[in-house]
Amino acid sequence: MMLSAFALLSACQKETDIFDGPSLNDIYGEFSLLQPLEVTDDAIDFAAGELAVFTASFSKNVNWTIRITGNESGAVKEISGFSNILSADNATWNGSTTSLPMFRAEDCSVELFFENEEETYSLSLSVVSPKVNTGLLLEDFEGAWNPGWGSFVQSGADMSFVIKDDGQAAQGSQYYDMGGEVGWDYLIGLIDIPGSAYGAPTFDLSANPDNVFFNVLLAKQPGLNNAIVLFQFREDDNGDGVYTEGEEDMFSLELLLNGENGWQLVSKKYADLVTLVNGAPAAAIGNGINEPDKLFQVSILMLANPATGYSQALMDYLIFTENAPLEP
Amino acid sequence: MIISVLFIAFEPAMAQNTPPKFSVNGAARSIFFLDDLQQDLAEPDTITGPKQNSAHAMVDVGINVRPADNLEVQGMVRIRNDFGGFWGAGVTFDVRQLYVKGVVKDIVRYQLGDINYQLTPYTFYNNDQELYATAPVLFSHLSDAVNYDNFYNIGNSWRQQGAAVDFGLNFKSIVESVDFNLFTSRVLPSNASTVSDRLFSTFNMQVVQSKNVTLGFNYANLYDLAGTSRNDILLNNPVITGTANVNYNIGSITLRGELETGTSSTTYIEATDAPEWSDGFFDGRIHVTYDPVNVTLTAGFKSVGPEFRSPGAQTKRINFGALPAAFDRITNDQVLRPLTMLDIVRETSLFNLQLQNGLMAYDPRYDNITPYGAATPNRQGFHVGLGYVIPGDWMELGATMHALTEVRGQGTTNLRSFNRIEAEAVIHAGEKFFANERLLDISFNSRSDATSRAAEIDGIPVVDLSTQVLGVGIEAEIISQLDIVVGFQSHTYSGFEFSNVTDNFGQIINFRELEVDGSQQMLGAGLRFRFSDKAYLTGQWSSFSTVDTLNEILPDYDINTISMIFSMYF
Repeated sequence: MMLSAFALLSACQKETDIFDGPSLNDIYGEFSLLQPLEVTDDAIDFAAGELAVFTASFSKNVNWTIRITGNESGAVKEISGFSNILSADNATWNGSTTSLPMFRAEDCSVELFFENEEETYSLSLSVVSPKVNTGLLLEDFEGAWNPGWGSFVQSGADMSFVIKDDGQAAQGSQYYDMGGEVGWDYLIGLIDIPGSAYGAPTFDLSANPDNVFFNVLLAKQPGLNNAIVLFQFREDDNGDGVYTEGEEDMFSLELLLNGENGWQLVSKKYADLVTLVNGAPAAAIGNGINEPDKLFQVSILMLANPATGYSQALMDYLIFTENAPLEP
Repeated sequence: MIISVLFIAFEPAMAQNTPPKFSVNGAARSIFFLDDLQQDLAEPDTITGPKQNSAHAMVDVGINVRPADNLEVQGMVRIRNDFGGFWGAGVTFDVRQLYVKGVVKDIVRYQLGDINYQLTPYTFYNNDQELYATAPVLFSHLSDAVNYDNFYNIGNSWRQQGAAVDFGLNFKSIVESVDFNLFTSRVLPSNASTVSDRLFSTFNMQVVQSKNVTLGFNYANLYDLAGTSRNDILLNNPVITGTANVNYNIGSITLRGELETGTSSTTYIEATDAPEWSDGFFDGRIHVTYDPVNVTLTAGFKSVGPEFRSPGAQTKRINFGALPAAFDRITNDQVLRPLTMLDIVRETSLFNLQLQNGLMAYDPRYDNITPYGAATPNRQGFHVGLGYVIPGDWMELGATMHALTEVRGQGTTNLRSFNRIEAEAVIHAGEKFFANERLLDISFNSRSDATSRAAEIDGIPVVDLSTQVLGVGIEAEIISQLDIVVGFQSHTYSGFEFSNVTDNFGQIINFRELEVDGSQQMLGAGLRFRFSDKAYLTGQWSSFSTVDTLNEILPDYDINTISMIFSMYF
């Protein structure tokens, strides 16, 4: 009898406030804006930890997108969701970007639009200071050339290894331009970034290679598909304060810029760096252990097949982050 | 609720007091179809052949051996020959049945192998296919062949492969007897990689207090066996029910009460995106019979929760995702032809043989109210019925009305309403007017279903699906054992309904609009010669036609069929 009573109660319970499946109102109902699009703070200091929270409410659940566009940088951030309310839970902006470049201190246009609905809503806000990314920043090229770095540039044609400020930067206003034509060698130029440039023989990084990420912003130039950027990570395996060629580890990250034009974020977990010889995986040179705390020097080699002519790559914002890749 | 365990019903030798040590049983059949397709097209169909033949002969030969009084072994082989294959081509041999059964110490009965088994309509029950109940005899000859091929012919049992054990205890007082029935079958074999062994196990205890009071407890579970594959996701779907049957007499009035109630839970262990469902049901009814005039009034209430899942009772016979073999593509565009009444009546390959987890797809045009039988989830409401058997038993009349609603809305808090009115009449005129020397049976069946739901707001389509099914049959013996058989069945449907789009676990993720306005009819007539109660030969002509005014892809079409059927059970 208890079973009977339980079954009767459970089967006959009133379930007037819930239903199965998606709401038919969401599928067929008429869309309208119940509460207008607003932002909690229209002058946001991301560097001080402030956040922009967008609010609005609609007559039904819809697929919505908030697109924030930097008026100067052209940076774009998109936040999307399916709901009938915009709130801190689903429409908070921390200053990050979806499409590079990164936001600067600038005015921004905000647009709210919907899938399958014609209505769009907009507002303006200003970024007082952009988001600050935590990590070991190697260089953002906003200042002068780091005197602790070394470089070598071939004597080819149209050589350009310079910091530029022409409005194309992925972060801030300046970036590094690497380009030229060398008809006799793959190497066009290189940069050596020793740990000593930051006050110690090795970089101040966690010992756990699974927690350390190397991040860099690179741009492919239109019409050029031959740029190869090779990053080398030399470790002082034995801790003697120098890197011994042929005895200690050198891990590599080789990037071919032959995809879409423009800036892209490259993030690589330190544990996933491998030993390369002429671009092919090879046996480790040293102890074979990825040890970011023993990283002695980062080298950046700008390469191109000499038969392919002029090559160019833009570079910005080299940074090591911990626990997660860079969220620009 | 009558709980029955059918070990082997297809076994005439069981009825004898001293069964022979060796016997042969089985069936034989030969069917020939000549179909003629007529399409209503502005431009003639130059691709589809308008005529198709199909024919086969088959015999099921079963060897039943009883090496001892308490031991029986049965093996049955099917030999089938599709016409047109000579010298062995087109001939198939299949093992149709293998089992061993017996009694241990005259106490415990057991059976191993192929077993037809059923419990209650909420635990383990093979519900009839759509349109079967209303079909006249002319067409049910075809359906019966389909049912026999798919092992549906023994009550509402499912053919399973496994083991069953029965035993009982008799008492001198308070309780007359207690029977125990245990059963386990293998529903799905493991592939040792991604698919685990899936078993179906039941336990039934039947307590007979007296001829007036019977109580039952039922447990049924469809579950995956851990460790039989590399797949960590394991289904576990137990159903527990209790039953009670009570009879009581007040003078000339007989009262009979039936109750079944229980719960189910459905879990996919280690599947993070799977739902965990649990729900219950209640189904109670009372029959009041006034014996002097043989009138029975039935009234009942049921409520089946939306998350009640019972694979043993909700698995459907028809696989509505299947395509017909005859004229599978028609028109110059070779459009796939959807299932129709004609296909459901006669095509064996459309039917499902095994228990399925989750709810199988169904076509709301055929049955939108009880697509999963009595255990259809998300239904609650009342039903009343009236039955009358004319003295002399030469006429039986019946009518039933169901008024149900959903328990939980789908896509809206508004609930669908379901209304069904059924009427049936069977007239054994031969008994009344020919002193039972001539067969003259007339049958009439009708069912009218309506589903409705108001729109929550403007813009949402209103659900208003209505379907009607009508079946009329006549069997008239013109000379000894030779009958004229006539049948007509009509199915009309119109209105709007949503059908559910579900994910792999059966959760509703979207709705598909279904707007229909059409009809289909079958009219047929033929001669039948009855060699005996178990053997007949019939030649039939039938005409099937279908019209769908909203279908812009498929034309209206007719299929005229001449068929010959020989059927024999031995």
